[in-house]
Amino acid sequence: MRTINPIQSTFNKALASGLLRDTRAPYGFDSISVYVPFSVFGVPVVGGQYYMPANPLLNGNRGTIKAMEIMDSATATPTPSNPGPAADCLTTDILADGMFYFTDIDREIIAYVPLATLVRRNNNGKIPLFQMTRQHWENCYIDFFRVSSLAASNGIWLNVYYTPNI
Amino acid sequence: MDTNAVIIMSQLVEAQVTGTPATGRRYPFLEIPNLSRNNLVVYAIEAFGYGQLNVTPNGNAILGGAATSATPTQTTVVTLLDNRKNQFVYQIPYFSLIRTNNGGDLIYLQPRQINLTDCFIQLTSTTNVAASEVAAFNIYYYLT
Repeated sequence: MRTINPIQSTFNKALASGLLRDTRAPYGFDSISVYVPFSVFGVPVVGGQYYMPANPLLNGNRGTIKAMEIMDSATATPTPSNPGPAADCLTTDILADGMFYFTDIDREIIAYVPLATLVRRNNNGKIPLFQMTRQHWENCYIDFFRVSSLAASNGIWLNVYYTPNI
Repeated sequence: MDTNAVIIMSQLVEAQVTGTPATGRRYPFLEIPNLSRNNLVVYAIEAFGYGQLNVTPNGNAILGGAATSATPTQTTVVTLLDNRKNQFVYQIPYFSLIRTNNGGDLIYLQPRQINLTDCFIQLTSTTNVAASEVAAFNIYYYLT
């Protein structure tokens, strides 16, 4: 007779179904840095909805987003000046006032992700994992619910890991 | 192997401390029509303390926001009920659902349908909790 450990069974099912995944560094995925300098939009405002720059590779019909991280000022700052303009990355305290919204082509929200939880060093080095297949990248946006600490010289630096749909 | 839950779809939900904060009182999760669909299966949850999310998109301050204190995350417990009214998570500390307190891991649940408005939080102490503050969670789910 074979004894089945219910916890192990649950774990194995979750792995097989893709709900759990190895958290080691996402080697093997393509990655791209995305910059959102606020200077392009002017003075940050609450409800400003800072949309992602268009990139067809990151649309769900072309690529699946597997992981994503955001650089806080203790990770990397400023953003590169090419493509510019360079911008100062935000502290985790300020990122805690913002949210990233994954949306589809009809602008229906797929997922809400608080910006501070995307900072890898806040997650013991683990990168937040995704399985995004429906997103329309240029419809995805960042919003802030308090802007008192934001300046036009600030910006967002995302690193997106994806697999192209071949 | 070190694993973590994968984010497929998520919805931010809140449980608001209405009126003067009181210990033991049940503060239910607010209704989210998106999560009331019959083909929706929840498989992970994450809570946010002051420091991960200061204000929700609805403009509500997170527990401890007014006092700029993370203490309420240690004095709040969470109970989750499924669509059969089973309390499958009973009074789990809010602190334990916060990712940064778990080495970056989301809390994985046995996938199931939940009854959101039956789920609730309770305070074990009202220190640094102000009226109208909210406990905020990300519910991770997929559609069948």
